[in-house]
Amino acid sequence: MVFTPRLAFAASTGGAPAGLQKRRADGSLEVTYQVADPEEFVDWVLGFGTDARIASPAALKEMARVRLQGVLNGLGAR
Amino acid sequence: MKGKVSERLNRLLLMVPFLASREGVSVTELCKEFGITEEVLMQDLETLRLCGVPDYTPDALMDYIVEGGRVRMLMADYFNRPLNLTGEEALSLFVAGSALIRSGVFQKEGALDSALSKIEMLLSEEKKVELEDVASRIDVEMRAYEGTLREIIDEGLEKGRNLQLDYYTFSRDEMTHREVEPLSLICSQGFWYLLAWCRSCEDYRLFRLDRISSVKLTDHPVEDRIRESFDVPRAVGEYSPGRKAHNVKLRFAGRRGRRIVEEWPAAQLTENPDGSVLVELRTRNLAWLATYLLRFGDGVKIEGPKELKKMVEQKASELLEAYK
Repeated sequence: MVFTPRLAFAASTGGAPAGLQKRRADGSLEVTYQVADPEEFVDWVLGFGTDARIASPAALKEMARVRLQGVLNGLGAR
Repeated sequence: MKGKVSERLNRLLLMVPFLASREGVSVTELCKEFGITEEVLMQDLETLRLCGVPDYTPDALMDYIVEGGRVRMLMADYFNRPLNLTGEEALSLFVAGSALIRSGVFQKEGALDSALSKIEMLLSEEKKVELEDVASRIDVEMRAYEGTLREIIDEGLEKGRNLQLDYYTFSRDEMTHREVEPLSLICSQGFWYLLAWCRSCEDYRLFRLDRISSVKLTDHPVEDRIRESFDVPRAVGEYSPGRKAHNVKLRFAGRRGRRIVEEWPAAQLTENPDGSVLVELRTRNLAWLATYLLRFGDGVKIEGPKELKKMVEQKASELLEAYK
């Protein structure tokens, strides 16, 4: 996961334990998690809005993408 | 009026064990201890005389005697019986107590652990087996309360000194810096909150611990007036969104909408025959709600207001770009 510098402090506040952390040159924080419950994890990530995104694996990214697309479909936006 | 009733109730609840643990207390000392006049004290004692346990026969009511300017409490016979917990009471204590130990608030093999063991010893073998069986099947979701933040917050609470917080205000989506007067810790729905008097807002506020980005102990003492006027129910208060709040209507497919009712104070829920759930709530913080709704995917439809629809659309579209 990648957090914006603003909310990087929140990386260790989730349900899943935070592992390896790497500060990027732009101040954003890359964090690795061991995820037991993907649904719950995606809930947590989306709660940060545009301040956090899943970088990998592809399956979790897809799960987040489907949720967001679903929201837009529900609004009749796309 | 509401405040006065709760103040009086708190005082009576404190007065009973205070009196019960002593052979007699002078009227002057009691008035001083509870900050009341003799007239109010006598009214309180008269009220206590009406308190007891069902079926409220004379032997089940409390009583008092004033002799030589000293008050002595006569407890109802019921209170002289040894403590005997029902299965439900024992289970509640064990589940809550074990969760507090697991979360790190109380130490393993510490005071709470020891208290739970003592209570367990009073239970019959049959009750113990039943208790362990049920307790092992219950998982209490509670975030750990540990780390550097905890040490500093604990120090602030113990020493009664103010804390400087860098706090992420989720509802306004902004980082704030403020000095607060720490009063208590509260755990609600698995999250820890610091209840404090905020010097910027001039009011009580709850600060979710996982949204505090940094905390610093100051030399400023918590003001006495804050401590004296504080009680948890009043400080947490009843949720009142105010006149400028938006009326929000959300329709959830299935029962997932129940979750928002658990997390959002004063939300109204209507279950429809088609299985969908209509949630109505009032809030001034549409930005917060817009981000919150992203997790529901196509399971939520926003019936109003239009501003919320626009915000959700914008946030979802921006975020979707990051996943392409």
